[in-house]
Amino acid sequence: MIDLLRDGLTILLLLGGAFFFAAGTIGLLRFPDVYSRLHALTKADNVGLGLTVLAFLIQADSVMQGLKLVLVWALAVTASATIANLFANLAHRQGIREWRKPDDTP
Amino acid sequence: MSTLAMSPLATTAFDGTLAVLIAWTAWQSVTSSEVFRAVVLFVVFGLLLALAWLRLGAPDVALAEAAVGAGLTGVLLLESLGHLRRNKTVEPPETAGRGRLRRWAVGLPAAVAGGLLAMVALRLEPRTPGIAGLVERHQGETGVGNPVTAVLLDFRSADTLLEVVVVLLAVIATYSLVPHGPGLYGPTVRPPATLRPPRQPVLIWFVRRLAPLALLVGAYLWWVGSSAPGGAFQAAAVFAAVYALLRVSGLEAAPPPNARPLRLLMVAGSVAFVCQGLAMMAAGRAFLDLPEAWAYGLIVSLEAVLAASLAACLIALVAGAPRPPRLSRPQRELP
Repeated sequence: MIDLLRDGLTILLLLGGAFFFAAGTIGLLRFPDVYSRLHALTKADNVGLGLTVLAFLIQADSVMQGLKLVLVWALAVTASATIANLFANLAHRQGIREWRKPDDTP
Repeated sequence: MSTLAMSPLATTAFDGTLAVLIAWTAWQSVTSSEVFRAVVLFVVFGLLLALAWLRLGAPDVALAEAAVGAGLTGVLLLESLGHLRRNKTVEPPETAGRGRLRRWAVGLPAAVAGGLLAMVALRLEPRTPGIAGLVERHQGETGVGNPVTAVLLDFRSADTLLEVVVVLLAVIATYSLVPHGPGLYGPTVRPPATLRPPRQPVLIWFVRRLAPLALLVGAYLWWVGSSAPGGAFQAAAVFAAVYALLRVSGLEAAPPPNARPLRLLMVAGSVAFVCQGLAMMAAGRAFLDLPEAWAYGLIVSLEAVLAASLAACLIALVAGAPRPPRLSRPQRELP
């Protein structure tokens, strides 16, 4: 019974993770400028990876295995945040302006 | 852990998608007219290939492909591209006639070689036992638990010796690109200091925390290589990756061009390997034929030397050819 419950929760978490990964990818393809695309990619992927790791975490055999999963998550999150910062910084230095609605005159 | 077994249909779909993606990224990388795009696609291709090796049950090869094939080669290609751009030596798009001739000159031999490989692959018996049984029977004589390490460092160590020498040769080839003598190099060799990107605090924060962890992973890969997937090459690639990270974040102190300790370390791997082989001959055995009682100790210690030596070689490759001595001083004689 408890196994069934755990497997069910894992499947739900994996589906949730897949949803955020898909949303991030659609954002990457559809958003209008580099800043919003970075936003979609890193934010959504981080939540997607978080849910995926959570799904595996409740299946972990030992504390050690769980800690390794958490370490993978932490490394991926910090790496993606750092890379997003680098890309945005480069785009900003190259003078790329952020996208605005066509009728939105500042 | 309760296993959620994959259905055969899902596995086939996954493997099929992977195969198509590998072929597509390879094609796109080769045919892309923009060099940066080609390099990025090459890295993606390497990562997908590593995934394919995992699916084929070869985690050792997957690790090597991800670390060396995708990671380090990608870094080297990007470094070269940056260097070419800074020195404005990227060739202009070729004129149609000469470009076409060059394409045929490269493409035709490649197509022939690829065709021959495909012929051989298709002629293979589908379920040949290979050397798995032979390795399994004799693995006990090496003392190591990882059959791949037993093959690489004992049964077929001559191949590995040549691989180590090849990496050293690559460094020598890179170093030989440094022009010698007066007047052979112009002021364009060194990029103007203003082109160096500003220091990135976020990147520096991240690298300061990642580097020690990555060094630990490298040391672990060397140590675990005797009993599980890992080994000297993978460890060295991780060490070199740490150097590359320090380099892009501006934290590294560049190795001085003629640093003798670095050069000695680069040669140490090949020398130690050959010495081990000769020592076996002196003891009345064949070249590189390890005695059963000593095999484990010899393999682990040689792997330690190899990991350090290969790391030095790969770091030298990432750092590129040392600057000619005269250019390290500001040039007064030029107007």
